Amino acid sequence: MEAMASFKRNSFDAGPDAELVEKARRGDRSAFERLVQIYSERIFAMIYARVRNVQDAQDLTQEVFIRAYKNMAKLQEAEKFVPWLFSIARNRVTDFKRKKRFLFFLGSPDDVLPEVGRSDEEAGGQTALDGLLSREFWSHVDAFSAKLSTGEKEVFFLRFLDQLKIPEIAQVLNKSQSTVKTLLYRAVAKFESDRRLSEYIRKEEVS
Amino acid sequence: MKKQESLTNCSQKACQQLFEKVMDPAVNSNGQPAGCPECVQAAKALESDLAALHRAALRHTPPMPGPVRLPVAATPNRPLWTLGFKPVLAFAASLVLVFGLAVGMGLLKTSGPPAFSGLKGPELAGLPTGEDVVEGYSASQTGILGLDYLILAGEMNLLNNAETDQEDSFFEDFLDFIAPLAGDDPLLQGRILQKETSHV
Repeated sequence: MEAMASFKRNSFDAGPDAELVEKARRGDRSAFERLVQIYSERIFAMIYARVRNVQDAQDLTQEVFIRAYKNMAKLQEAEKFVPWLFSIARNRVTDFKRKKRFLFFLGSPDDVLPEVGRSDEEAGGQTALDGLLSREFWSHVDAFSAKLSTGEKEVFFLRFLDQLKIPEIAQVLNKSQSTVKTLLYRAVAKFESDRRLSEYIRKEEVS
Repeated sequence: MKKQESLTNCSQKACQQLFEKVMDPAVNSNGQPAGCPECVQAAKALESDLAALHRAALRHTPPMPGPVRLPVAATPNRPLWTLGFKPVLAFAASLVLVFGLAVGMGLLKTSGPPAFSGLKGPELAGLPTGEDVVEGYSASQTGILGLDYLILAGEMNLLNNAETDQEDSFFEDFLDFIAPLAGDDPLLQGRILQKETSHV
């Protein structure tokens, strides 16, 4: 798992390759496939943090890249590729959650509950203990994010879980940078005052 | 930036910048802003906690079960004006072909009276009736239209076998419609009379 985290850290640091994006915009399929290789884990992680189901996250990641590929011509500036990709992912997650809520009203709650299930542990090659720890971690994250408004939560997740920069977050959310900073400031103040999540993480890292 | 909730009780601008830098490393990129020792320590702790949160989220995110694969059939959507001349020409040619076929097969009438479009009375079918026809159409057109009705009525076998109210209604509509069409044509007049008599 550590190797996986290392791989993800590296891919998170990779900036948008303007030349690749430009080629993909002109319809170069192999250039786009290279972009998929670079960003798929990152988009998957972003979606997983919001839907908490490996299969759903995988399907949504697939959809995000297909949509991106079909609409590459609409991307105006190559350097905005990352926020553009994240905005597609965010929209897909929103649609997915809306659909889940609709299914819930229709009476099929089995599909609705976001949780790390046994299938996720198997799909991710996790042991039962790993699965248990993951559930505990995400439940702490949920408990903390329940204290945030929708805007604060979005901004906080995009900044500290997905590692986007403030201008990128502003593009993803279509908000001004000052609005993003205000929301982020409020969220971080709540994170700082509520020590439970950070204490849990610290304990977990020690053990 | 408008401060909504305080991260520190310290009112020094440098200390506030410290926390802003935690949230956005691009702020004050010339170096770490100086601040009071307490704030420096608090900002470092916060930065460390947020970094730990990111690491933990990565640890607790399972790897993707499989790579993302673009379907072979997936192609980028491109605006029409970027497609070049050939596809536009092909599209225009196909439009002309479809229109030409439609006209050729009689699906679209380019002149003359409208075609009969259903097994209903003339009014229900949206056709002109009675004197409208006589005034608006030439003798040959009304004759053709009248004969169309005759053929239709013959096919439906209604003239001699009107058994239901609906069929009676159709027959009355038919006579109202066809009578003015006959005009001075003795052949048509005779035929209408014959049909009317046989129906009664």
